[in-house]
Amino acid sequence: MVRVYVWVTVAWISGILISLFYGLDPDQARLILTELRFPRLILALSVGGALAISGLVLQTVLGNPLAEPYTLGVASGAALGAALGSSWDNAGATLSLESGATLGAGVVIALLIGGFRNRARSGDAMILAGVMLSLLLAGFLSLWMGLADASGVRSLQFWLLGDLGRATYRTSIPVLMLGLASVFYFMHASKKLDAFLFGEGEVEGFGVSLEKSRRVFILWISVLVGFCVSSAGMIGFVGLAVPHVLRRFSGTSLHRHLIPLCWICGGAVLSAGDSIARGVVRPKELPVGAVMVVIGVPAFFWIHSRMRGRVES
Amino acid sequence: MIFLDDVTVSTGKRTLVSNVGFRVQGGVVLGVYGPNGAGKSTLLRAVAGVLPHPHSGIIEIDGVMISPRLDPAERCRKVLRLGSDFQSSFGVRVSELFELATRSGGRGDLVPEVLNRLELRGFLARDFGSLSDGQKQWVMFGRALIQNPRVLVLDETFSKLDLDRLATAKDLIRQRVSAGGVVIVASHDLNRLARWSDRLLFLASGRKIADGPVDEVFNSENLKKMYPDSKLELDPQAPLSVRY
Repeated sequence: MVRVYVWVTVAWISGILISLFYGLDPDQARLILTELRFPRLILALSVGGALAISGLVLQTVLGNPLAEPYTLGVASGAALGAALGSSWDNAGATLSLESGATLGAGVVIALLIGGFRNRARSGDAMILAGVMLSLLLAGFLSLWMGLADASGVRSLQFWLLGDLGRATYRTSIPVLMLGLASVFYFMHASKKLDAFLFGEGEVEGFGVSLEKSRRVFILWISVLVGFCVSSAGMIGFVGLAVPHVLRRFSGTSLHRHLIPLCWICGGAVLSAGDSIARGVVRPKELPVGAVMVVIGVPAFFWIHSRMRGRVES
Repeated sequence: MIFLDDVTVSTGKRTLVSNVGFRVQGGVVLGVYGPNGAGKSTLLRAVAGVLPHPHSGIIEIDGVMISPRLDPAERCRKVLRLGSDFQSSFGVRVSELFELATRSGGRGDLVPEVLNRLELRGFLARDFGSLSDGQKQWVMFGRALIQNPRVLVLDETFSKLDLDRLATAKDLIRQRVSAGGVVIVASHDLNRLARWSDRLLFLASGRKIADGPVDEVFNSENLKKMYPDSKLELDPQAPLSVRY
């Protein structure tokens, strides 16, 4: 396990160095580093880490390896909110794309709280409800796109594919703090998460309340995802793939190891992906979410096929 | 030790268990039998405090009321229920399951003994999800022994075990009850249940048909109450057996 931590930390430091110094103009190094790259790096590390933890926790508590941070519809709510926010922004009103996204995520979280209050639901039922809600919100977003002007749609599309270019210290520090708080919280709750590893039916048998702990975990993750999407758009792949790769690489499914490993590795992957997104076709910048998927998915298959599971089957 | 009075479980539309009550002292194996859909699993989930629907009536273990409001960790020390189907999609090692059992109020000092008695050392590095159904049941039985609850509820937990493991399971259950614990076993193999149990509880359509020492309740009258239209009958050649 020490070896795994060393490897993941090396990846993290590499991601940081690449992100800070790749293609750096020496004449303006100080200005670029402090004003642009540091806040952007902090956001990439924080969002990547937070999305990886979110994917891990949702996969575990919903008992479904296909769950990811956007499964429950929070991101779709944020996307629709961002669209409406950017319309108002263009119209000179005070609501911006980011605050619209926060508001949209908040509305979906409120809906989730309302949905959880009265009845016990299975993980599969929650996923189905989340997917339906996402579809509904995506439908509204498409309607908005059909009506909005072209420049507004283009700006929103770039954001929807993941955009770390809006990073400032003001947007990145809160995600960093919440992400670190999440690492400590979920490590503290790691035994409860481990109890979900043998299916919903066994959770109570390990002395853990199925409904209460799942409700708290999902709401915590929803807030975390809401912060991520509001500050960096919809970045896919990290939340789904990083937990799977780390389970296989580390040979454990216990959360006291996977939570910190996911946070570190998710940040490393996103910061490296962001370096590529802004470095390969300079001065243009590619949407980081799209770059992550295009490079990440083949890499995922390659890693998965080469890495023999450490667990005997 | 276990006291149930007038327990009724209903989902709103259907009543799954009606007015069931019984009392079991420590040191007893209670066998629970009934036709499919008789309410066995529902009743046993209620006894273990893990029923998704609310129940009415009283369920007490050692004087403590078992209800969804009881602290789950405290409840697990009192009673633990195992079902028959176990799964894991995430590549968890058997050793990690036993570690979790120890952290869930279990006794770490029991692990070596459980590994030896159940011959589980060869399983420790295996992925739980890759085991056969019978092996999963066996490993989960080991986990329950480590958690060491006052009342162990085995709801069809041994449905896929081979004969050698069944014999070991019977010995271990006897060992638990001789130390003062209670084991409740539900199974569709009535003949085996009768040989394993000190007392039997028969259910049909959610109601208690009979409850008492095995030789008192294992009779053709109770069999007829559970299966009014069936040709099932006691085997005159073998004691405590149904011929089918």
